[in-house]
This record gives sequence, C-alpha cells and structure tokens, in this order.
Amino acid sequence: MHVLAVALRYLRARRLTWLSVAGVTVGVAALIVILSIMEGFQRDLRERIRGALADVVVRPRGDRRVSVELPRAEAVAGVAAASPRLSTVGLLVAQDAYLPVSLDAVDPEREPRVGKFGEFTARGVTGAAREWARWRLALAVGGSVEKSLGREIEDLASGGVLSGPERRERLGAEARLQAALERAAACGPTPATLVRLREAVAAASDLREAAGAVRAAAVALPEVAQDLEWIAGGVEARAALAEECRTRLPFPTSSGDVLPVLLGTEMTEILEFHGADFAKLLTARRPRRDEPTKDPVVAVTTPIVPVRRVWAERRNPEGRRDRVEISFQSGMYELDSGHALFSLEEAARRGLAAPDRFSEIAVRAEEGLEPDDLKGPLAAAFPGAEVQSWTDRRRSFLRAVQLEKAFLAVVLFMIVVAAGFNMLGTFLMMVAQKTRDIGVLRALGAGRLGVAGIFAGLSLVIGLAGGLLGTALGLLVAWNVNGIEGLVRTTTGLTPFPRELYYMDRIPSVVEPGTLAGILVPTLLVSVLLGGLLPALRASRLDPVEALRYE
Amino acid sequence: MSNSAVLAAEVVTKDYRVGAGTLPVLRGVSLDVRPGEVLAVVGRSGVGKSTLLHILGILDAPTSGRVLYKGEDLAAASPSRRAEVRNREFGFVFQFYHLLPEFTALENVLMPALVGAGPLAWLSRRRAARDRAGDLLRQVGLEGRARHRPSQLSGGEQQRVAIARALMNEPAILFCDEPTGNLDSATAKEIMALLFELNAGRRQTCVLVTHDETVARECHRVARMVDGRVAEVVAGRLRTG
Ligand SMILES: Nc1ncnc2c1ncn2[C@@H]1O[C@H](COP(=O)(O)OP(=O)(O)OP(=O)(O)O)[C@@H](O)[C@H]1O
Ligand SMILES: [Mg+2]
Repeated sequence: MHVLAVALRYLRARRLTWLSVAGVTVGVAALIVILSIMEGFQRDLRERIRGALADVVVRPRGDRRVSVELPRAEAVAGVAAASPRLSTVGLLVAQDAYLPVSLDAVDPEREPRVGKFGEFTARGVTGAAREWARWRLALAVGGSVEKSLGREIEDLASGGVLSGPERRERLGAEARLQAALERAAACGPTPATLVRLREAVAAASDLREAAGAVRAAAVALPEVAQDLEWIAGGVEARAALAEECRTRLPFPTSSGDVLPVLLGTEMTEILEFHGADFAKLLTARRPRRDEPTKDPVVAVTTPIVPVRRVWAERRNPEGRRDRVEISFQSGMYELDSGHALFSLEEAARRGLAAPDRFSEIAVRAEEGLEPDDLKGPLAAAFPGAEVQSWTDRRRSFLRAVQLEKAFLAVVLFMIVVAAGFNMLGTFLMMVAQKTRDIGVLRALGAGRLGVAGIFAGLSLVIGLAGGLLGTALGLLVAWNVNGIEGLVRTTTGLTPFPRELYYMDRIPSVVEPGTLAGILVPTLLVSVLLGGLLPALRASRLDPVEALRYE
Repeated sequence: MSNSAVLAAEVVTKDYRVGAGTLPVLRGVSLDVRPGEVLAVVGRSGVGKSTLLHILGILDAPTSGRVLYKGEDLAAASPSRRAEVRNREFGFVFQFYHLLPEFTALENVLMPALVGAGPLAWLSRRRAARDRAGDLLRQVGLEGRARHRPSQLSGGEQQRVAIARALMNEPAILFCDEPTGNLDSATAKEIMALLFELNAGRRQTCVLVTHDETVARECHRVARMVDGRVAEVVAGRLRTG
C-alpha cells in the first residue's frame, strides 16, 4: 500500500512530473488525431478505388459472349451483381489537344450496380447543377439592379455560363463578378437577398434543399419571381437527373453517327479549355479477314460528343433550350481526367466493338462478403479465367498508403518516446534525491520490490494520466475536426482544408477502437519500460545502510 | 548464550571491502539482548557501533556469524522474511531522525503500518492505525502537530515523531542509534526520559547506541566495544522492577 501512497505523494510534490504527463498527452493526442484523419482519408480513398474498379473482375480467355457468360457469373453464390465491360485504350483528339484515355464500353443499367460510376455521375451532375444555379442567380442579380452595373454583371455571368471554370478563372471573371455582385448587394434589398441566396445555394449539400430555398425566395421577391421559379425548376430537373444517374448511366439511345461518351469532370474541363465543340476518338482494332491490309492493326476514328441532357420544353430566358453536359466525378484525378465510358450497345453499333463481345465481367460481392472470398467460387465457375479482386489490382498503391500511415505513426510515436526519456531523467534524479528516504522505507520493512514499485508505479501513473488526457484531447479534436477547421477559417481566413482539392465536403476522421488500443498499450509500455524500469531497478538495488548514511 | 535472550549476535564479523583489501570492522561480536532491558552500546567513534546495530536490526548482513531472533537465524533468512521482521518486530530511531519530508507527522507515524499492509488489508485497518498513530503522537507530546510536515518541526520534535513511528507496529525491539546526537542537552534529556519512560511503562526492549557515558550508566546493561569486539558488558543502574 505504501507503494501507491508514496508514489502519489511524490507525484503531487513534484512539478517536474507534470512535464512528463504533458509530453505523453501531446504524443497520444497527436497520434489519435493524425491517425484518425489518415484512416478517414484512407477509407474514403479505398471506397473510391473500389467503386471505380468493382469488387472482383473476371477475364475469361478466348472469344466469349456476354449472353452466355453473364448468367454464369450471376449464378455464383455471393455475387450480388455482375456487369460486362469491354476495356480498351484510345486517344481523344479535340482541335489541338491529344488526350490519352482508357475506355470502358459498359452496360448502362448493370454498371452502376457493380461499381460506383452511377454515384460518381450523380456527383458530377450535382456539382454542375450547383455551379449552373450560381451563374443563373448572378444573372438574376444583374437583372435586378440599375442599367450599367446590371449589364456588367450580365456580361460577366453569361461568359461564366458559357465557359468552364478553368477558363473563367483565367479570364479573371470570377473575381470581377464577385466584386460587381458586392456592389449590387449594396443597391437594395432584392439584389442583397439574391446574393445571399447565391451563397446559400453554393453551400447546399442537397439539390432539393437548394431548389426549395430558391422557390421560397421567388415567393418573397415578386419582381424576380419568374427568373427564380425557372432556376428552381432547373435545379429540380438536375436533381432528378442525378437520381436517375445513380441507377442508370445516362447514355442517350441514339445520336446518329456520333458516339455519346461519358467523361470525367477534369477531362470535360480540359476539352472546354481547348474550346473544342466536338472531338474524335482514335482507337485500334484487328483487321477483318477480308480487309485488304497487311498491317496488324487498323485505326478507327469515331466522332464523339459528351453525354448531355436537353430539356426541350424548358426554354431559358435567352430563348434557348435548357441543357446540361453530364460528366462523372470520382474524386480521383487520373480517372476524372483520363477515363471515358460509353454504352456497349452503341459502341457495337458504330463498329467500335464486336456485338456481344466483352473483355471482362465486373462483379459486386454481396453485403458482408469480402471481395477476396469471391475469387475462389468465380475461378471455379470460369476455369482458366483470370480473377482479380480490386485490392489485387491496386495492391502496391494500397500497400503504399498503408505503409505511409504506419510510418507516420512511428514518427509521431517518437513524441511519446521523448516523453519516456523525459520520465527516465526525472525519475533517475528522483531516485538520487530520495536515496535516504528509500533507505528509511527499507528500514521500516519495505522490500526491494516495494521500493521498485514506487518508481514503476509513478511511471505507470504518468503513462496512464498522459494516455487518458491525450485520448480525451485527441478524441475531442478528432471528432470536432471540422468545427475546428471552420473556426480557423472564419478567424484567420486561411483554408486548412481546400474542399475542391479533395472533392470532400468535410474532413474525414474515423476513430477506430483498435487504433486507440494500438496507441495506448505501447504508450504505457514505453512509460513503464523506458521511463520506470531503470529507476525502479536502481532504487531496488540501493543498499539500505548505504542509503541511510547518504546525505 | 543465555536462554533468556530475545536477540543474540553470535561471533558476528563484518569486513568492508576497501579497494583491493578488506577492512575488518567487527571481529567477532557476541552479544545478547534480554527482553525488557535497555542495552547501551558504547565505544570510540568508528569502532563499529552503528555497523553492529544495523546487523542486529538486519538492515545489514554480517560477513560471518549468526543473528538469532527468538532462536531464528535472521542472517540466513530470506529477504522477504527479513523485511517482515524489520516491519513487525523491530523499530528504528536514527541520529538524523530520517522522517519522510513529503509526509505529515501523522503520516510518518503511520508509515510502518502502511508498509506492512496490502491495499485491501489497509482499507480495513486504516481506522485503527490512524487512532493508534494519534495516540502515539499524544504520548510523545505532539498531539497538536499531527498535520505538520517535518520541515515545520524542530529537531527534538522530529525525533519524537521518529520514536512514535518506530513504535507504530509495537516492535519487540527498538534500535536507537545516537538518538540525541544531534540535539542540545536539554532536548536530549527529554528524549532520553521519553525512552526510559517507554521502557518502564511497557517494558520496551531497547538497544541504544550512545556516546554519552552518563546516559549509558542509566541503562540496564552497558556493552563496551573496543577494536571490533565487545570488550565487556557491565550492569548499569537501571533495575527491572
Ligand atoms: N560502506 C563502508 N565501506 C567501508 N568502510 C565502512 C563502510 N561503512 C562503515 N565503514 C567503516 O566502518 C567503521 C565503523 O563504522 P560505524 O559507523 O559503525 O562506526 P561508529 O562506531 O558508529 O562511529 P560513530 O560513533 O562515529 O557513529 C568506520 O571506520 C567506517 O569508516
Ligand atoms: Mg555510528
């Protein structure tokens, strides 16, 4: 019992020990915060990669037909959905730009069931809708103020509607428009309300919610009600489109010769930047038997057009039909800037692919089933086929991310180790200072283990206190990281987390119990083994008689 | 050896290793302590009085020889048994008091009880132990100073606390190493009076190392050490009633 009493009393009497506690606290808190955020990012990234790749892919050898192979894949136990893909590569040519693309001919209805391209497309539509509403609302602001300012805003905004973000940025239109809008907001209550509405719509996470806000404003502002109603209708139409994209990729049924392709947002912007109204796709195929050529491949040029939705019945105030160009947004730059999807059927119709042929079947595992567990049954169903899970296909990358996290954990753990050394120094000094008292305790009947326990106990108490304080602090920060980021943003004007850069509307942060244990157990071990063991040994080795003579 | 001895040293030697050679300090000490007596140990400075006391109190191990406590050879006992005996059976009073500075007078007195008890035993024993520690402080005349730290007490007061602490677990033998060596003569008299009072009151057996011949003469017996041996044991003035 004296072990505890003496340890606690020494702890209370010495300010220095709080330094060690603070060291452990900082280390543990930093570990929890950083590892939770890393975990959040990692999960998000894995989700995206998995969504783009599909859980498992089967590549049968030889010439296979969708109509035969697909039912066979769907019959495998544990397969929730399967979809055929015809993968190839090509070159996208748009005026003076040559962009390499990976191409997937897919089934518009099956593909969203195995992967996340439906989701990615809905995200792209949502982003575009928000952007569209902002420019349209800018035009409404322009219409609500006096002539010259109004015309300036309209010029800037219509330029904005017509060209992509990258070009607008380059022209400086964004900044000039912002300044003009601020001047307009000072002109009266209506433009002020519209400017605020514009900001609300830009920040809204849900399109229906944004449309509701615009409709409410239409009721409150009769003079611009017509414009606002139209904008609200446009946002709602786009919300419906986004919903639709989740279950069916929005390929139109037929567009003559031109092949409608679904591009990523980044690719769309690059094309816009080059001012390309139409583009061509350059691919290669094997020559047919009857073709008079000795070359092993034949180049195929296909005119393409980005997939778009036109609302014929909705005429905009300028008298044109309301339309939107649809692109997907996965949040992974390589994919968004270098990948294109088109319908398997349409590709066959235009001679880009042989009908009913595919190169792989993408499969989604049933809920709760690990994709890797599906590899065996699929391999059995398709003898000789190549079967790969999504983790197989990105193994080295996923491993690198995991390794990065581990390294960061090791580096941050050095804070705890430093606190351990601090403890070691403090306690060694304490043993020296308390030599006589240790002798007294031995004379009073304390054993070697007892006096060792005092210093081991001290280190344990400090490790525990630092660990718990650090956990509390770390959890507080990890759980409120977005609030803290917001506070930093509003007070300093800095943007610690640029949302556009990560395609995330919040900082992901996932606190895993396993990670907590993985931090706390080594922390306690370091405290006791590094901070406490040597002082405890030294205390226990003191000869009581020597210690009593010690002054 | 007398059968009536509660503690006995049998041809105890103690050598200290100094550099390459050895320094013999005790060269065969035989001495017994009888129950209820105050045994004074006197001798020139450096003769080995403290060394002998530490060996008798099994704080230190002899180089050879036996230390018999109620017939048990403590020199050969296990470390845990020796710690237990120090805690339960022996009490120590040192020249420099040796109170623990972080603890109050009362807590210092409680310390032997605390050392001897596990956490659970302590919970059940705490009340009784506190009461006893308070009583002891009252007996040594310090009832008002229970909450004071050693730094807030004078030397004489600290030594009183140290005596109360030594008595906490009702030891069979009290070892005092020059308990008044650091005090002025008036205070020293009071401390000695307290020790003799304890002996008279509860027949506290006591081994007392002292320089003071007059004090030694007041005891039951006086062991005089010369040259690493007990040269003679003579009767003092004190008689057990
Ligand atoms: N650890 C040690 N190493 C070497 N010599 C020691 C050691 N401890 C004690 N001595 C020597 O042993 C001898 C006896 O010491 P001790 O303290 O027992 O004497 P003492 O009789 O108590 O003296 P005093 O009356 O001054 O307290 C001294 O000469 C001392 O120098
Ligand atoms: Mg001495």
